[in-house]
Amino acid sequence: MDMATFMANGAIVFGDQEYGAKRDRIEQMDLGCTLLIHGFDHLANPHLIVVDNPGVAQFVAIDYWAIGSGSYMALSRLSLHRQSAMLSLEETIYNVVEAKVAAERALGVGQHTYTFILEKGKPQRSLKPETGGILMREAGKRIVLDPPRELLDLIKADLETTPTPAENQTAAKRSTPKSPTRDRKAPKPSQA
Amino acid sequence: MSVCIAAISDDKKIVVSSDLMVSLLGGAFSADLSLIKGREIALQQWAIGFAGDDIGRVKPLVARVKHALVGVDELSAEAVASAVLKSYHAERSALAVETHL
Repeated sequence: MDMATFMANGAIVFGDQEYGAKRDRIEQMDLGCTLLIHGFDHLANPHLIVVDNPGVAQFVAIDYWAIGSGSYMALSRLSLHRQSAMLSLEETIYNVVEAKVAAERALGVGQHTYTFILEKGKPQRSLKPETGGILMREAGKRIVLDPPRELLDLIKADLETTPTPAENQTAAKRSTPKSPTRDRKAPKPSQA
Repeated sequence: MSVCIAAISDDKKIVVSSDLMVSLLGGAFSADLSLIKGREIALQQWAIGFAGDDIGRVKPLVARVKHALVGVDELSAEAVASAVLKSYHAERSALAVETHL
């Protein structure tokens, strides 16, 4: 049965209950893949478009995007590098490669990489394998930089000298002034 | 589920990077070093990158998009998006028919 027949006669063929159940399952159908469309319009302006389930298009306005399980890692790296269409091709290539290396930390992202450059009306080109290898290796080192030792020492010193909430509470109790009581020995105002 | 990244540079070029991991059957099967995830849909002008748990429907989907773009003179972003969306809906519908009807 095709979709048009199902929509027209499904309730008669399957009965209301089964027809409803099938409609629900069909509406929840997921194609299982996301698309990142990239290319150039007739004025040679570049565009990025994302199409995702259930078939919705988003025109990417920030000049970069990523899809898949590694997308959050990739997008955060690109954002940190302030990637935009104001950056040179060289900077963009580095940022994209570093984003790919960062994305490898996510589940389901493969370590092998294919990077290429598109220009309207020209065949796609890519870096030489040795250059790509160097880029991947160096980007891999940069994304796993340990925090600076002096900053860790600063945090440690702060933690050691900052009182805990319990210590603060105790100190507060000690410093609270007692309720004022009449000092019996206080001298009476001198009588003139 | 893999990754596909694209960014635009100041000289109107697009840099694309993806892994070569392939997942099929809702992620039940995966293999690395298997597939370049770019499909040209209009010669040296528009292409599709993809990622997902099941890329088994990408090939017929791309074929639908190519077919939809035949004869379109001005390949604006809106025209391409419209062709991809129609193809996506058609492929999703075809999958639903195969699975449930």
